[in-house]
Amino acid sequence: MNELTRVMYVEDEPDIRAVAKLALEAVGGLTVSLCERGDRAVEEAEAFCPQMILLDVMMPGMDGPSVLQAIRQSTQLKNIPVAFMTAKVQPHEIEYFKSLGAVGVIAKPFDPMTLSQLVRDLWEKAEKPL
Amino acid sequence: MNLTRQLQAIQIQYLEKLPQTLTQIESLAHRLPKSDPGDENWQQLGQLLHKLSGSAGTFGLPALSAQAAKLHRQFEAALLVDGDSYARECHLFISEIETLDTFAELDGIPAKPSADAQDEGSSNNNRPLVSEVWLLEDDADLGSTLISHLQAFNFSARLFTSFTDLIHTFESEQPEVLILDVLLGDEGRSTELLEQSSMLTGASSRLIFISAKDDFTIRLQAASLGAEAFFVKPLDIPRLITRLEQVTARLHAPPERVLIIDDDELLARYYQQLMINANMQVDILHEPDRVIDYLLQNSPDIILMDLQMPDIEGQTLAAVIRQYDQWVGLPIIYLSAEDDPDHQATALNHGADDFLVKPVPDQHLISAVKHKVSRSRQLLELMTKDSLTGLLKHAAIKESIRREWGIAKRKSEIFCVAMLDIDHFKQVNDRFGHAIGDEVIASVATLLRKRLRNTDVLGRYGGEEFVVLMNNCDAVEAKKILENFRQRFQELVFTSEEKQFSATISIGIAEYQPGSDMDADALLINADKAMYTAKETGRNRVIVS
Repeated sequence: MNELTRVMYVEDEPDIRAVAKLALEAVGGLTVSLCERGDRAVEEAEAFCPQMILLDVMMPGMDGPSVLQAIRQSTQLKNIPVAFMTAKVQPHEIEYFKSLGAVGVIAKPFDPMTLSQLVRDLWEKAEKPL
Repeated sequence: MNLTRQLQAIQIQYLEKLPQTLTQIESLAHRLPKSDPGDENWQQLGQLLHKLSGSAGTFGLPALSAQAAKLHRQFEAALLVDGDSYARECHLFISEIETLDTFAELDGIPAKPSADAQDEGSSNNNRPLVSEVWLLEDDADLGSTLISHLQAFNFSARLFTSFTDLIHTFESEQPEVLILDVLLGDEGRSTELLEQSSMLTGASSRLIFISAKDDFTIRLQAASLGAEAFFVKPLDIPRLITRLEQVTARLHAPPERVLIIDDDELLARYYQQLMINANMQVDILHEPDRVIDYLLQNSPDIILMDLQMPDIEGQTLAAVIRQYDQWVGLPIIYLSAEDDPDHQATALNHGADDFLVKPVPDQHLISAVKHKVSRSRQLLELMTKDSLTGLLKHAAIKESIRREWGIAKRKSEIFCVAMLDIDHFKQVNDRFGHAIGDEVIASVATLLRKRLRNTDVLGRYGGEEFVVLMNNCDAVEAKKILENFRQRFQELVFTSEEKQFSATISIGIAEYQPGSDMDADALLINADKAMYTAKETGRNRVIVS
C-alpha cells in the first residue's frame, strides 16, 4: 500500500487553512498544498498532484460538492480520494456527502493534534480494497 | 518555533478577529425581520454561523463552537416557517444570537470589549491569550505571595510544591515560563534537577531560577540549564515580574506586517503565501504610484520591492518614500534578478537596506524579513520609548494625543486622557534609594500594560508621572478601568533590604467629547488639574475633570 505524503486542502477561511497546514505538516509529516477558492481547486490540484484532497463544504463561489464533481470530471484527478471537512456532521448529512462519492467526512471543529491521523485513517480506508 | 507556539500564533490572529465576527453576526441577525429567506443577508448570516461553529472549537472555544452549531441548525429550520411565526422565530433567534459572546466568555475569552472584562482579570481585549507561568516553590508563604502577584499582573499562574509533580505534569503540557526555586549547588536536589535537565532545556518553556544562595558556580549551573534570569532571595518580586514581562513579550511579538510591491502578480502571490505561512501579515501593491496612500493608511514593518517595474524603477520609488520623515527608518528590501554587484550597490545607494536576488530561497526570504523587522522594531523602541519603563517618552505621548485628538475630531469619537502620579514618591526615594524608586516606577508601567486595554497608549510623562490615552472610551469606562488599576497597584508589595512597603497613585481623567472646542493641550491641562484635585482630596484616588 502506498503511503500518504501529499495532501491538498481547499478552504476559504485563512485561520483554518493555517492551522490545518500546521497540523498536517508539523504533526503529520505530510506535504500540504492549500487552495483558498473552490473554482481554482481543480487547476491547482492538477499542478500539485496530491494523493488525497480535503474539501471545505461551504465556500463562496464554488462549494465543496461542486468541486468534487469537477474533480471527478478531470481525467488526471478522477480517482483521487476526496474527504469533506465540515461542521455538518449529522448522520443524514454524512450520508449525503458519501453519496456524492466522498471517502468520508472529518468533523469541524477539528483538533490540530489528531487531524493528520483522521486523514491517514480515511486514506487507508480508501486504499484498502474491500 | 515549536508547534505549540505556532498554533498559538494562529490562535491569536483568530481571537483578534473574533469580536468583529460576533458583531457582524449580530448586526446581520438584527436585519433578519426585514430580509427574506434566501436573500444575501440571510445567506451571509448562515455562512458566518456555519464557519464559526466549524472553527471556534479548533481555536480553543468549544462552548462557542457548540452554540454556533446549534444556532445554525435553528437558523436553517427557520427557513421553513412563514407568516406570523417567522417574525416570532426571528425575535427568538436574535435574542439567542445576542448571547453568543457569553459562550466565548465561558471558554475564557472576553469576546467583546467592555470594562467589566477588567474585573475578571483579563484586561487586554485585543490580546486574550494569557501567559501560562508555573512556579516551583516549597516555601508555602512565598509561594502564595508570588502566585497572587503573578495573578495581579494577569499571568495564569500555577504552583507546584514538589519537583516530581512538576516534571510529571511537564510531560504532557508545558507553560511559557517556568520559575524554579531550587537548591542549586546542593547535592541531592541538583542531581535530580540535572537528570531532568535535558527535558527542561529541550522544551520550549523559558526558565527563571530563584536561589537562596548567590555565587558564580551556582549562576553557572543555572545558565547551563538554560536560565534566562536568576533571582536571589529575599525575592524582589516587582523586578521578577518586569523580567517575566520582557520574556513573554518577546514570545508574543505581533506578526510582521509586510508590503510587497511587484508587478509580477504570480510571484508576489507566491511570496505572500510563503510569508503568511510563516505567520506574517502580507499585502500586495501592484501599482507603485499608490504606495504613499497605502503607507499613510497602513503602517507596514517592511517593504519588499521589485527593482525593475515597467513604470517606475524600484530605486526611484524608494527615494520617494525616503522624502517623508516618518519613513526614513522603514526597512526596504529590493527583490531583483540583478546579480551584478555594482548595480546592486548603486541600487542600495538609493535608500534600501538590503538586496535579495531572485529566485530567493524560501527560508532565506523569511529569515531576512524577520531579522530586519526585529532590528527595526528594536531601534524604533529605543527612539520613542523610555528605557526604564518601555513606555512612550514625553514628546512621543504628546504627539500621540495630538494625533488621536485629530482622529477623534474628524470621526466624532469620544476619548480620554489620564494623568497619573505616584503619591509621596520623594519619600520612597529618600527612604529606600533611587534603585527602589525606579522599581516602583517600572511596576506602574508593567501594571498599566497588563491592566489597560491593548489599544490604550501609555507614556511616561516625566519622573513619577504617567499619561494614558484611552481611545473610544468615555470617562465612566475610563474611571472604571483606572480605578481597578489603582486598587491593584496599592496591593503590590515592594521589598527593600528586608523592609516591605507599598505605594499608591493619584489619577486625573479628562474626557474629549465630539464637538467640544477643547484641543489636545487643554485636555492634558484638565487631566493634570483633576490629578491635583485627587492629590488635594487625600491621594490614592481617581478624579474625573
